[in-house]
Amino acid sequence: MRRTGHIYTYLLTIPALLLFGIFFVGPSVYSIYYSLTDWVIGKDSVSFIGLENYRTIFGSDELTHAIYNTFLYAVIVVIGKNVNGLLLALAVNTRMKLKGYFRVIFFLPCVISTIIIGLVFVPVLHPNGILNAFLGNIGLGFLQQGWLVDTKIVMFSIAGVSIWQWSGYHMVIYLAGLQGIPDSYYEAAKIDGATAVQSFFGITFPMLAPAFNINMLLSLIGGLKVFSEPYALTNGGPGNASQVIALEVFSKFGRGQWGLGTALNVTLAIFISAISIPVLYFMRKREVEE
Amino acid sequence: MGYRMKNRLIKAMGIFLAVALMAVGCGQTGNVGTEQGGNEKNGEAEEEKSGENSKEGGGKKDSVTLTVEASQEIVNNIPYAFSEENIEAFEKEYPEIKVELVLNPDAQNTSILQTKLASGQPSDLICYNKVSAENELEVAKNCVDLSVEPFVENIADKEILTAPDGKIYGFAFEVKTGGMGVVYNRDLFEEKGLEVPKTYDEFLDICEKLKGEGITPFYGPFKDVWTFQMWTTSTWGYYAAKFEPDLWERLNANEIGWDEVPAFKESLEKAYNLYKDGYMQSTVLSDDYNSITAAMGSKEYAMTVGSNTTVRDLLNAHPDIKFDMFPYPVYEGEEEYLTISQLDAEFFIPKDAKHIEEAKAFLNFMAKPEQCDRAQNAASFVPNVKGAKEPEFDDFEGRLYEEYNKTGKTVLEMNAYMKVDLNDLWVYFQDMFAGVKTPEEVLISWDAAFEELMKAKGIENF
Repeated sequence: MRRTGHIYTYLLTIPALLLFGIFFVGPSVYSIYYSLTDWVIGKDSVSFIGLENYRTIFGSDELTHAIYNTFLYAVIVVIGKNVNGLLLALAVNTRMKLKGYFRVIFFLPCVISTIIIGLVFVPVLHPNGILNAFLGNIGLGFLQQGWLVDTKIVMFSIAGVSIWQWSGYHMVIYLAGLQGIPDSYYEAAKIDGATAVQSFFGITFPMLAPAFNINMLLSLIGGLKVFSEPYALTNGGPGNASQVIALEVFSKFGRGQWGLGTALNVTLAIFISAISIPVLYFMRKREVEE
Repeated sequence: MGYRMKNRLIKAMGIFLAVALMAVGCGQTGNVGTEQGGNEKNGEAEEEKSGENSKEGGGKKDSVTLTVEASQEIVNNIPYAFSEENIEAFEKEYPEIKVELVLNPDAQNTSILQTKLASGQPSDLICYNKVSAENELEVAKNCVDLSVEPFVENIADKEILTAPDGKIYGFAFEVKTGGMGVVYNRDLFEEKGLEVPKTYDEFLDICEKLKGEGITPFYGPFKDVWTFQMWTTSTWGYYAAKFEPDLWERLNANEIGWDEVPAFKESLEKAYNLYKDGYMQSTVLSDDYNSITAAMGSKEYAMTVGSNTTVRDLLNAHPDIKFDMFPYPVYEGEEEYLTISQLDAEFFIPKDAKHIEEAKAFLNFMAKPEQCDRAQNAASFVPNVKGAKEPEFDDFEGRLYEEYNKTGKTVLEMNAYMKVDLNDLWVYFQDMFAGVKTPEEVLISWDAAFEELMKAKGIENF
């Protein structure tokens, strides 16, 4: 086979490389530098202050709480979206009637803007809102909560809304994986006398590894980068109860604390890389082994 | 598909993409200042229109777009400063000048203005609160000294517009009146035979009586982070003015901490106890400022936090109910003084503005009695322009004006003395109502945050 190393091949990559370099690599490198400075609005000069911003981040109760919330949220949504998505995919992969309609209905929330969903859910989750009224009317009054104002459960409520919105999206990926599994595997298992549960763990689950991996990674990175959901539902409140890293970055930038905001952003990028890269490596290995 | 064919196809697609990218790039450059939001309005397109002669004001009659930048909140709350009739009259007198309003989101307004000033690309006029502008926008450094402009001669009380350095950097229509306090349903008070409280004990008695009648005494719309601060900026403002006049100076010089002022804690505790003792609704952190209209109109609530604007909005929404306002009775003697906010909606001209002469012409035009009178159509205010008509106040505004403003029984709110953003403090107030922080912890946390903010701003002693 002829080598494709013709000069044009490289020349044609230049526009993309330039765009990537100017709009991604450059700012990323700059942001690492600025995270080490006292860059604030209205100050005439920017001075190098070493790791002072990072000390501020890890020495501040509010910011460490935002980091904790971010991880808590990521864990909840990774589990919630994947379990829900997989169950929905299994449900709409059967021979039931109207499965096409159900697929559309489950997928629909993810095409709606998160801000709109926030506007809808704020009154639903109000202490005097529809959810509590519903719980009261069906005799489950003891489950009524201040969903978005109780500092102990607010992150779970926000994660719940996100799981509701995005499960259908993950369902579609699982569904594609499920439909790629040949029926003959199940037929062979049936002949061998395998139960439905044995078929699921012996065939479905291992064969879903690629879909599972991509879903895990997407939900994990999305969870760590979360911004829109808490912004629309609580704006980080009440108080600082539902602050997450991205919201803090937004707030620091909005108030002109650019050095500190950049340091927070770099911290978030490090967290995401430090978690996602090993997870990706581990999962790829598992995929190959399968 | 053969290799050669595939290669050609890839090349063709590459060329198409490159051309498309270039076309998109060119298209974006051409559209700056026309399709983008107000923040782009200082772009090159405008510069081309105005030309170099624009700063000379006279000369060639090139078309000039005069940009006036403000927050959404200030435009809503001070409608007379942005009277459309006045702007139309100005454009009629100066047909070569077109006025364009640039609106910023409230939360980002300060940083957008600061960024534009720092980068040398501000709008031609900035509308901002006076004392905050002196502290946050550093008008003495960034704005044009207007002390000798013709409009200054039309000003009735120049002192109101004078900056600490003795110069005048801006123009505002009004003499600050009205204020902040407890907004209440006067009909409900009369119906229940209640008098406006003079002391905190009387206030609690009223709360107890209303609660006994099945009415929630105080409506707390504290979902919005800025609403509860109306309580503190008023009560703390009064306390400092009457008992420790140098308190703000000492706090700003780091001579005393916020947690070392027992009166601050007292005010917070009194507010929190209202909530804890059931005198406020249990959903204070779920209800926002906009819900006040429905809540107070329902007659299920008797009082709330607010200002003149709140009362006016309530009267407009419920013309059949009488609403009014009284000062917070938190500290001794406070019932006699209304807290007023700093002078708001003052217009400044940045030194780096592209159309300084046109901006001066705008201010000289506005500071005339006829414009002042016309602005009264948008909302009533007490003018600071010689020869302008006295306003026609509503009942409640007239009473407040006669009772407090005219007699000098007003104190300036705390926020007017602050040099840094107070958002952290307001968030801690929410923490208090959420039960996460005690009033004392609120002050300790704020003291630490305040120190960081002052240090970041490079203020001495921090």
